Amino acid sequence: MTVCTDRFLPFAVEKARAMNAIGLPILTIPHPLTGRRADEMAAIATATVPQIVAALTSAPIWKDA
Amino acid sequence: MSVDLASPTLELPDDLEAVTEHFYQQGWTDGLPIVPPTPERVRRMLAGYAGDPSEVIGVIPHLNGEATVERIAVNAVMAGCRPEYLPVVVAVVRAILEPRFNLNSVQSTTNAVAPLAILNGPVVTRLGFNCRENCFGQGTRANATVGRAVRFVLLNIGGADPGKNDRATHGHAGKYSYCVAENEAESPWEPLHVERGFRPEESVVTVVGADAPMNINDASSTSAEGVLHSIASAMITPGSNNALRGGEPLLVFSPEHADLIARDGWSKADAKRFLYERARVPWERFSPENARRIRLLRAAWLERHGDTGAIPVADSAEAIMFLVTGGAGKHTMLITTFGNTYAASRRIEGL
Repeated sequence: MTVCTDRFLPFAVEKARAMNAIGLPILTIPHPLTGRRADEMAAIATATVPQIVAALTSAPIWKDA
Repeated sequence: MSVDLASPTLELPDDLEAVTEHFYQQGWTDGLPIVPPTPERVRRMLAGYAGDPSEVIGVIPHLNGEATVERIAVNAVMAGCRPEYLPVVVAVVRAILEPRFNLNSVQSTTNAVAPLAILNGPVVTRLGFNCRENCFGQGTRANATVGRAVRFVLLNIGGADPGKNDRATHGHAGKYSYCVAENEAESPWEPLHVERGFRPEESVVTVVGADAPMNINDASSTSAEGVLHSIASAMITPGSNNALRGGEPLLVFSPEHADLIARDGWSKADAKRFLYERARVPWERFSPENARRIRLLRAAWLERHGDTGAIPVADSAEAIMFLVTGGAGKHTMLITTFGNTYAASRRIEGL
């Protein structure tokens, strides 16, 4: 799977398609990733880890149309 | 003999404005009018190339389109190239596809980076590339259209449409066209391609993942050390990717600046060594958060050399690139690079 910010989701989908990685689970986090304070990053990480676990143990989040 | 073309054809009105508008609406242009790539024009373009039009030169990220010679020729027509320029465009495509150039990242990064094509050898005079006054500016067909053709290849074969797959936060003007030649005749030093292992009589293109140029005006210094001091001072901008990551910053000397340095007996290697030692950004010029990041990014250099309170803008003296080009005047331009990219050179075949 891969993780990207929500602003980059269409790009990530295109890239996955170009790489023939059809069905690659793509998890989004709020944009931006950079320039955040440590407490903000910790909050995003805390909220994201369960989603990563879910993505790695269930059906793809994104599927090629 | 008529060449069989593999490209699909479109039926469009026999009207330049209508064709340009259609191509623009499809996202196939840079926003400027194009030369319609009719089959006749594509065949004439291919006549400038000795090889097989179906040859695959490589696969262009981001969308991994196959860059056949024919597809490159279609884009060269659109850009306004003369047929004799096609071997140069093909060589540039070969060069940017070398892994060290990291085209995948250059194509899609948020950084303002574009492939800069630098020409050396007999091709410069033969095809009329500008290496004198205003060589980075407008006015010379070879520079303008070869650089534009490369951009069209990246867009139409690689799928680097701005805002979608080309994620540059700002981009820069070199993304329209970025092509220049070295002024070998007025350089006191060996040409770039010879420094990189080619023979003087070979025609070579070197590609650099380049930011926009920044002018360094020093018409007052009268010594090598004086000019290089001005240049080193300009190089230590904390926000450049070379400060963050190292890489290969490019200095574009006017012949007058290069001559002033060489007259004091400084070789290229001497000048590079001076800049490597002097162009170091003190840690206090970075924000604490940025300094922490750079300590990670440059950990290998710091491990090797220790922390002297400042970080150089290249990992070694040899990594600083020199080019001598331009007309009269005491100017040098600093072209910082993406950092995650290294220059690649290819001989131009089939001229």
